[in-house]
Amino acid sequence: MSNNPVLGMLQKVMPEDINAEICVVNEKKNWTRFRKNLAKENLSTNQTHICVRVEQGGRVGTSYSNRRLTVSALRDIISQARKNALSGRPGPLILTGSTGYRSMGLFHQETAESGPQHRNELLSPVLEFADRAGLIMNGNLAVKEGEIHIANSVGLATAVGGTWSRFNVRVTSEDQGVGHGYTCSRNIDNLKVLDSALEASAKCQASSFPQPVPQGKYTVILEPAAVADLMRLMAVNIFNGRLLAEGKSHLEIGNRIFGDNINIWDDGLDPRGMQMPFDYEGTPKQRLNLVSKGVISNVATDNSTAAALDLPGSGHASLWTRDLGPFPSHIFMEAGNAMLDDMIVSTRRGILVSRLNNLNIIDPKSLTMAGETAGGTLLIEQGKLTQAVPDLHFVQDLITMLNNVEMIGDQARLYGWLWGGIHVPALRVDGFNITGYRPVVSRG
Amino acid sequence: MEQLLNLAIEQALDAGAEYADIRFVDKTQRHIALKNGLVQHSGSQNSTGFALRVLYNGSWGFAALPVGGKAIIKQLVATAMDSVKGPNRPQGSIKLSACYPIVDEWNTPFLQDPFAKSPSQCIELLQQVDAQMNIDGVTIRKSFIGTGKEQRLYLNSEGTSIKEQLVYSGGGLQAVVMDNGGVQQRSWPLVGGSYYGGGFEQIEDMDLPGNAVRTAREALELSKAPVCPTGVFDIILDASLLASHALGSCSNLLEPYQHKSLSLEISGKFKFASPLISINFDGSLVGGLGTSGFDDEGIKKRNLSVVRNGLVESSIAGRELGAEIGRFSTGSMRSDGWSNPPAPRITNIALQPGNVSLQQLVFGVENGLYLENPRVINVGSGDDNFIVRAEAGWLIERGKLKGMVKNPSYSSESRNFWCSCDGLAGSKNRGVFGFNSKTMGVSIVAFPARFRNVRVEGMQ
Repeated sequence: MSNNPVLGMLQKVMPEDINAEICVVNEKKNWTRFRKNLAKENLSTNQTHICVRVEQGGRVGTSYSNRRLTVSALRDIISQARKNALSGRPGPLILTGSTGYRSMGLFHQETAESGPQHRNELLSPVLEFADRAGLIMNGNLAVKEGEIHIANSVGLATAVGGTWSRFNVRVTSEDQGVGHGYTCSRNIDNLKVLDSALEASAKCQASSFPQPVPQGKYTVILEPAAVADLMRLMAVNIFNGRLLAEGKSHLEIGNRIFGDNINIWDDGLDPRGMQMPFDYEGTPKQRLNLVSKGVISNVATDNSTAAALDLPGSGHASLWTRDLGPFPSHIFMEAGNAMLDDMIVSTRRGILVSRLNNLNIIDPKSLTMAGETAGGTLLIEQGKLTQAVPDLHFVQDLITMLNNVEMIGDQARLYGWLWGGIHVPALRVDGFNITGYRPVVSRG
Repeated sequence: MEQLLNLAIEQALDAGAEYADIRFVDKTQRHIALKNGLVQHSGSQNSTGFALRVLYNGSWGFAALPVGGKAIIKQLVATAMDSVKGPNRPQGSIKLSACYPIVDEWNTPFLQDPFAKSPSQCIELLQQVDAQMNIDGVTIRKSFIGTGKEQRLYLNSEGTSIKEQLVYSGGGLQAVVMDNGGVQQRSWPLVGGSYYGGGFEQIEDMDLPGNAVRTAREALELSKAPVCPTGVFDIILDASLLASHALGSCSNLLEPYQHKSLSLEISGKFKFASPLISINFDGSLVGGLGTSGFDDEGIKKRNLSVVRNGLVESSIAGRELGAEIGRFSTGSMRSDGWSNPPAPRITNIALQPGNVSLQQLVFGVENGLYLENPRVINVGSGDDNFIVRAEAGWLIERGKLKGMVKNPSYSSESRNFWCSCDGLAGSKNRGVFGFNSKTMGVSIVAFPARFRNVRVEGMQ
């Protein structure tokens, strides 16, 4: 029996006559929202998610609750899962066996103890600056403390706890400028709140009085935040093993479809990212190459997808309640050797894109996506940032796009996502298809 | 439970709050899905918790915790008050618009409990659906049912006490054909299904088995159909496609939570659509997913006209925004799950009917397309560009429907598009569609509508 009290509880209630898995995720989130340069609200939530899967009579049953974690609550949820198994999908329920994990320091006391007063202290200089500069800042500063406990009937019992802190800001001005700032860290003492707010402010001031540009193909420089937005889309819609298992993906592992300068991988163990030792089935994390020199190398799998595809499990099970299938969430893209300034200076005519928004794959066969840029979009002419541009709409197929990457930035940045993160550089892409723009309306 | 909630309010006021409100939510959902005759998913979810808001010196504090006893209530109040008291506390000037206290109860009317049928009985029903779709050439057959029940209690420090029970039921089906022509799908009534406020009788009324054969046959026909032509055409959207499109447009334009000053500026002056288009946000829509007696601030939900004859005439507001702009709350405060604070959000969207039939709409097209069911929607607001891909289309030539075409998509600027509407079908062609997320659902009432000179592209 484990010394960890929660694991001890899970082992105590674990059925002995059937295959079963219990996953308990507890998340305490505290955040401060600010609007128009005032810290308006402090919010706090504490949720426990209890997810149970069982195999009984050759069928799999599931049950979820976010009740308070007690032995009797666990027994109720297991009982419900057993009932659901009577009409559940055919098994087997493939469980991860007991195994070792790399030890990692994911928990920082300073973050866990950060209260409203501490967060307000961090925000005060930022909001005072906004007032002095005549800018308007909206956003939030959040800290989260979480634990995952997983136990199953084949002997697995493991837990990990961690902390996160994130700062998001949207800066606007009366001159219709917009800038976004973001920073994240497990340790709030390392959070660069003021730096990211200043960066966003500079972008806002640079993007005043936007003027539209004609539709057409442009050279675009995607800043790391925009590349991170793109990676989220690709993670769920392209590297998701369930799509391949269900025959919905047109990708073939081993085929080169992107440029040979494109290298993307997932690694929950890399300390440059938001590390995690295992997935939601307890399968240990390891590096998984997704795209190697433009070749599709692997897709993310969980136990059942791996069995369906006859591949080894890659440790990417998501919480089944999300129903998204297995997808990578500790994504890295290989940096290049181009400084962002050099990318701009060497662009004759192009567009600098800060963020992307509203991304959708509209044609899975050609991997065509539609979306828009989101604030801080600037026109480049003869190597200089000459004017601001409103949010632009685009329709672009990813295959052509990632074959037209001319330059890759030398500095990768980290963006938190779910319990993981995305660590990516800037990209300069030729022939990006802009289809329109959003006329500017003043927003506070 | 009411005693515990009262205790929370008392403790918050004792601690100095000038206003407090608390919600208790207990929600149970069940979802059963079949794929190619086999159960793909049969599970249940339960979500329950308390959420407390306090107003202190013009600033909000908020705390949410799983349900417990007095100790949890004490922790909830302490956390919420701690967030607004002490040095470096938030500085605010929030006021709330006036309202009178209400003591009331509201329940979604239903004939059969949403959980009346056992999972086995639900699976039997879905197996009937699956059998109807099992036609040679159909690669994937999907069918699903979802039901839910939610108990709610709301109290505030002004004396409002509301008890509600909300129920919903719904489902859908999809046939997918994969061949050299690509992946073609037909869904009914929508991708993701459609859900309604009510009991299991809603699912029976949907008649999933009765719509299965046609759906499967259309998927096969679609796979053999030519690709949609590219060009500028007059198009007619069926009710399901217009509903999905309206959801995107209205969410982005008219939810002040997302675009506060935009909404305030445009009321009364902004042309959203052609004079044929009038839209209500109707929190009292019978069978609506967003329907309940009261919102998450204890304000009675109502039927609010937001677009009349093409002009935006109102916006939604809670008590805080209402006080800012000098209006009463519109009863539109909704929380995305019990653990989040409420914000002004759409309840249900009800387009008002036109006065022609679908046949008349088709008759008025010389060269165009009739499009059904959304496949992918990428819709913005105001003058934003958008692109929508439909599941299927039919050519219209000289006022008559001709053959089916596949991979149709259309794009435009949102406002230009809505302003190009010159025909709207009447009540006989009414469609109601419920879009259900795990935490917040919205129903949309829509009708087939005709739009002139729209860019259409057949995706290869």
